[in-house]
Amino acid sequence: MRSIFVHILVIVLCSAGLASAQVEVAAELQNNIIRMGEIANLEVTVTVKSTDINPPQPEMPTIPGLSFGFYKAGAFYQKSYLGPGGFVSQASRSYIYQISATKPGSYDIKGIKATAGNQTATAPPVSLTVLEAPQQQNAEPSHGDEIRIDPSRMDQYGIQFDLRYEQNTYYIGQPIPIKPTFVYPNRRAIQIEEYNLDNKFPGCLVKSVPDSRERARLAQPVNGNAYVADTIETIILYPLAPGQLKIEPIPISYFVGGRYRSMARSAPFVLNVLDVPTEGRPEDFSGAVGTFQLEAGVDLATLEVGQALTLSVTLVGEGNIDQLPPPKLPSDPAFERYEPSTDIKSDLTRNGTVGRVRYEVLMVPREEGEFDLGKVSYVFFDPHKEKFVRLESKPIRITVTPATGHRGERIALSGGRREIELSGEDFRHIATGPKTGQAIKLNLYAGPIFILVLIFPAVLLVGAWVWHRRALRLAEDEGFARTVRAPKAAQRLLKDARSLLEKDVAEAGALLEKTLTDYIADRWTVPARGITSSEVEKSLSDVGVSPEIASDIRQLLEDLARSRYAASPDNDGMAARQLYQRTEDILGALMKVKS
Amino acid sequence: MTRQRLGIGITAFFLLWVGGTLPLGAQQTVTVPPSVEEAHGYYEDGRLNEAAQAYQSILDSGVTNGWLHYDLGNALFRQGKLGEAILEYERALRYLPRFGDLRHNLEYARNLTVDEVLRPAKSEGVVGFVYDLHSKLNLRESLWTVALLWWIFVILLILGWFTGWSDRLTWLRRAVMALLLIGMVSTTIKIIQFETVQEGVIIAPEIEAKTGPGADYSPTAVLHEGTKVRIGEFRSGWVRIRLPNNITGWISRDNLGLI
Repeated sequence: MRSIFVHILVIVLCSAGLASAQVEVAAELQNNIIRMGEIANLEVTVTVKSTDINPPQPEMPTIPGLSFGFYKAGAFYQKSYLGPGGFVSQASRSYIYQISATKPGSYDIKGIKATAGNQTATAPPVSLTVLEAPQQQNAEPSHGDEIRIDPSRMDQYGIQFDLRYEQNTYYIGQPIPIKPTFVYPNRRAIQIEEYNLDNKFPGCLVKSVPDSRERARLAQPVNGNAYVADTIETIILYPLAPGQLKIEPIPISYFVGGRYRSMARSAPFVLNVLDVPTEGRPEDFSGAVGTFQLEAGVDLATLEVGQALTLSVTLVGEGNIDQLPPPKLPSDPAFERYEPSTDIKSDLTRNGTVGRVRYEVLMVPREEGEFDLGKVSYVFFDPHKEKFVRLESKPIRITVTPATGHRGERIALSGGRREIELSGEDFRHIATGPKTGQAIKLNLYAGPIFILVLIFPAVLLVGAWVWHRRALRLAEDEGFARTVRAPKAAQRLLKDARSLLEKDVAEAGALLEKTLTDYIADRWTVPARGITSSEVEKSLSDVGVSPEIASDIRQLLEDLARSRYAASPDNDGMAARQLYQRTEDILGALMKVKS
Repeated sequence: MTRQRLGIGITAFFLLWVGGTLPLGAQQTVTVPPSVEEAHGYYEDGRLNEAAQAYQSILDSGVTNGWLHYDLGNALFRQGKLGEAILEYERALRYLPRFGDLRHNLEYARNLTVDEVLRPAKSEGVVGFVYDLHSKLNLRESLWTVALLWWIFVILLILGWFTGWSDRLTWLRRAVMALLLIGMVSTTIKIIQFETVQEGVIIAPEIEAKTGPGADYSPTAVLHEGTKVRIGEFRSGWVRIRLPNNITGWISRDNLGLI
């Protein structure tokens, strides 16, 4: 029985077209760069080229250093369109995973799979950079970052404009966050008319942090009014040369309340830009400023002569990522080395640039043997700790074996075969066949036949239930069983007695007496032994039999007893038939008596 | 003799009348619809208008089934009557919810409509499986399934009463009872939908839905052929309709085909 259900399930699933679905997977990270302790949201979208199947949840890979937690299933989409190959129906669903890291570094998330039917698809890899948790700033106390209210610099509407900055001294290459900020009464509304920062920060690389506008209420009231600080944006300056960085007043024009035009200028200020110290500066320092981590490795540690390996070096951290000088990549005369490629992924935050740079170089060994490519080393200046830091990778060792040539053979053998692909779909043809001419009624319940089909089992059920209850009672209740069976048993004995009437009068009389006493005993559940002519009248009266019938029974029993012990050969037949007739009549009368 | 001849004459006249007028009358009042094969033949020959008329005649004669609606929908679609084709496909879908070609052509046609209408999201897990089963059977099949399950359930009960409840029989009875309950709920929903929910398809190329039942009312939305709507009420040649995104309006009855 279980196998039948399994078969039904298989048929249903197959009918849903599970086996023929085409599946696609795409993965996208909301933030490619996070810090330790932060969470990156990964959205995996599974698309199935069938509207009969729900896009399955993907299978996440195991990546040391990262943990994936399923957060929620996202939006479900279903659409149909005419593609280049014909008509396509598809359903897609996104699944959101939260990624947390146990160690900082640069990760390639690959191997996200989804399976529908017999098709499996893998998402293209996505990269995630995990930075160290933010360091405690060990810099001099902040000056410009505080909101310094100066009523003399306010316009007639009580509005002041300034550039906020965090500290007075920075190192060359260190990001300097600058926040152009309005301070104005809470009830005011301001629309900026003109504001231009071009060429205002000479000697610096300037970057504007997107979506960095902030508005916060000041803790202390000004002139008895509640004030807000409205930071228009955050810009990051990267000083390119040491010295004094003079920031001139920056003009800004704006409308107050949408009608009144006004103008303000920020206060000028000077920042000191220091060069990196010469004391303790390593010879191989190439100008990297910030905080970084280094990862280096090869994709193949053992390979054949002529086979290519990729050496990758990744620098992860915060600093001048986009202008980071490359590390010195290891080389060996036994390896043919190709031009390195550089891949930069960076985000501009309110504190500067964070991200990673990956350098990859393709290397092909030309001779067999054990090779030690050495360590990858990189030096940077940490402006927070004000010291140089050297990073070193683990030694890179490569084993090169002789070329076997099998690889090429495999490629040659597998060539020429490919999967059958659907080239296109179009409008489907009409349905023909014997059924097309049949009239089909959907609302069967409106016809009498269907109602009968439903009612008949109900009637059957009620009948069976009554029968079942009766059978149970017959089995359990002896008195009931005797009462029910008494008439049939009496009829049977009577029939036997009749067949003896002409042969053996005494025996027939005994049988008639047994018929009568057994019936009474079964019908009213009394011991047959107690039914004697002397007691029967009283016993029957007690169970509700009329005195006349009871009297007739007593008389009959006496006559039957007499016929058994004092039978006369002359009138045997006649008397016996009379007795039989009387017994039959009395039984008939007794059967009519209600219990 | 004369009376006898008169009788023979009257009888002959009656027979002639019966023989002559009845077939004549039948020819005048009863229109024999073309056969399905004939309609298919028109379609195969590319005589699409004649094919559509033939299918429609068969349907009008009382022979109603999903295949005829589907074939009629195909004939209409290939004539460029998108709204009417979708209407026929929707009608066919009530009979043939599992017919792949029908779903394909309906999607194909829907894809060509101007109005994009929201569709409910698919459920998952057990609910999705049950909903799938629910939507894969038409009302007739659901009714027969429930009847069959009811018969099996009754037979199992009777068997159990008279032969005793073995573990296997008990398990089977529970499974059948669960299926029966699901089937009854599903069928009840279908009956309620069949009896109370009225839907239609816009068959005019483009119409304006009005705020009230009349051309003078201001417009609320512009609808295009093939858009499926739910029908609220009829009033003097106008129909109040509702779209899945809860846009309501009144349109002329002539622009709407009832599913």
